[in-house]
Parts: sequence; structure tokens; C-alpha cells
Amino acid sequence: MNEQTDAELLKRFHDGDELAFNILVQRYQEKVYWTARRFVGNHDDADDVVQEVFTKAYTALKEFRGESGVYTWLYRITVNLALNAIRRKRIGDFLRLDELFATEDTQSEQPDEQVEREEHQRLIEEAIATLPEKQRAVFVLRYYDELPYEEIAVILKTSVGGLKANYFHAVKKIEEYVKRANKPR
Amino acid sequence: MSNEQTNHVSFQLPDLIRGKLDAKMSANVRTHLSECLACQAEERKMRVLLGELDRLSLPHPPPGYFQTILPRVRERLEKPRWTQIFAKPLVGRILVPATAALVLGVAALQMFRSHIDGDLKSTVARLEAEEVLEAVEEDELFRLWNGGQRAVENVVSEKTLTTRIVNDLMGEIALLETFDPTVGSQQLLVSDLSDHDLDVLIERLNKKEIL
Repeated sequence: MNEQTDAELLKRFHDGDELAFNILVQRYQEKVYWTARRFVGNHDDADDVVQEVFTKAYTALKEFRGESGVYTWLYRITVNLALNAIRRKRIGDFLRLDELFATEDTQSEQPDEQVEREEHQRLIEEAIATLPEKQRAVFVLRYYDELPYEEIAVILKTSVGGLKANYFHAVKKIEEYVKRANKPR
Repeated sequence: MSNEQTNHVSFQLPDLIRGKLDAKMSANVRTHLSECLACQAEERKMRVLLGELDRLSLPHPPPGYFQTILPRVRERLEKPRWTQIFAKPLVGRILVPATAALVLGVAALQMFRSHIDGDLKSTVARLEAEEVLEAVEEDELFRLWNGGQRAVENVVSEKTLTTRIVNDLMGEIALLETFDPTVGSQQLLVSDLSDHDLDVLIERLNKKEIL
């Protein structure tokens, strides 16, 4: 059987076919998850975002008339909810400073190579986390999801003009962050 | 070579390195690179970083995770809306305690003030929004959230903490009230609010319309 297009599934959903929504969830859940994961940096928060994205999408889909692709529209919801999750986390972390301090001293018993790789991964994630929201969004969507600038502009409701500069500055900031962190003291 | 031209080319470098430029643009950038030492250096540094990034991969989610998404979404959709609101971390962990703290704080403040001048209503009415919030923060919120107090004492002053909590809370409240994830990119942090919006929020917070 031929796979149905998003537009066909959307029409089925508008006609009251709940199964169409399930197919859309299954079609996009991995993309939504990985985008959310790259924004928020860990599985649990990404899972919360995924759940929220599809819950919101279910309600909003009733009003959605396909002005953009379903995929682009879901990306937009994901980016907004992921950024929202980051803001909440920032406040949560601030209110639980002692826990943060406590975890910093945790000793690892993993082999050196793995520790080093994980350390590097953490450093890059930290660097991405320090980016201003728009640069972070552009970086994740361009670098990891490899979306064209035109589509990123639609998702972020902005013009294409500044996106290349945003992407460039994001890469530069990550580079500088890593360089600073690796500098011997 | 003008700064503008160099900037224009620099902005293409990440896409050039990752092979995302079309042939014409790629040729233009390479021509520029062959003549510009600053851009060559930039390109080398960027290539190292992007190479490292390419080699890193995020750990995979637990096995079978993707099969759990749809049933849980369906379960959420079937729950009454109010249970979802209280299940949210912000509401459950911050706004609910904050509401309780606000009520307790104002009550404590009123009792304290009444002890001094015996005129509850007029005293509380004279308080500025910030004063109410500050009293609440210091008397109750701080105690509720004092998990961070020990560490905070070593890092930031109590005053800074109080101000930041108030600001962050107000930012979150504004965000909760107006946030619609289906509409564009949203900048709703308190630092992005206009002075007028901030005043309105303080006023509403003072009147307890929100909490």
C-alpha cells in the first residue's frame, strides 16, 4: 500500500479519523525527539518536550489548514516548547543550586577514554547551552537537522537574511567556549 | 578587501565546510579564501571544530522508547485538562508552592503589621507590590526553596537571589499566560518584556490576579 502524504493524513484527521493522528505521531516522533534532545541536552527533558509537542499538536491540528507543511509546523512547535523547557529548567536549576553543586563532585569510575569522550560531549553541550536562543535554534536546525535556511526562516518566523550570520556566530561561540575551557590554567 | 565582503564570505564558511553550498557559491567562497589569509585561518579553525562535532553523537534513548510515545500521548489526551495543568513542573513545583507561600506570607505580614499599628487593611494597602513580594520571598519562598540556600550564601547575596526569583517568576507567569507554541518564535523572558508590561505584571501580581 502506498504511504499517505501528510496532506492526506491531515484531511483524514479533519474528517474525524483519529488513526491519521497516530500515523503522524509515528512518522515524526524520532525527528521531534532528536531536535528536542539537541535543544535540551538530556533524554528526560526531551521526552517531556515530545509528549507536550504531540499533545499540543493534537489540539492545534484541528485548526491547522496546511499553510506550511505538517513537518515544518511540528518543528516550530518543537523549537518553541524546547526553548520554553530550557527557560523553565534555568529557573529550576537556580532554585536547586545545592543539588547542582553536589553533583559536580561526583567521581566517575569509567575508563579514561570514555570519560574523555563524555567530557568533550558535555563541553560541546554546555557551549550550545550558552548560545542565545535564536542562535541555538538556528544552529540545531541547520547543523543537526540540516534544514534549508528558507525552512528555518518559516519555523522561526524570521527573514532568511540574518540566519547565515546567526549560524556563523553560533559556531564561533561554540569554538571560543571550547577553546576557553581547554586552556591550561 | 572590504569588511562587508569578508563578513559575507565568513558567514558561508560553516556551510562550505559541511558541503551545503551550491557549486557557484562554493566557487566564489573558495576564490575569496585563496586571497584572504584571515578567512583561511577562520576556515581552518572552524573545520577542526565541525569535525569534532561530527564525531560526537548523543547517547541513544532507552531501547523501545519510541514505541512508548504514542500510547503516552494518547493517555495524556484522555486525561482531564486540569490534571495536566497541575502535572506541569512549573505549576506543581513552583506556582503552587508560590501561591501557598504568597497566601501565608501576606497573612504573616498582616499579622505582624497589625501587631504594630493595629490597622491591617490600611497597612497592607500601603505596601508596594515589590514590598509584598519581597516579604513573601524572604519569609516563605526562601524557606520553601531553601535547598539552595547554603550554596547560594557562598555564591550570591540573598538580595540578588530574591530579585532574581521575583524576576524569573514573573517571566514564567507572563510566559504561561501568553505562550502558544504553535505561533512563531517567542521571546517571553522577563528581560524581553517592555517596562509597561512589567508594570502591568507587578500590578496584577500585587492584586493576586495571577497567582
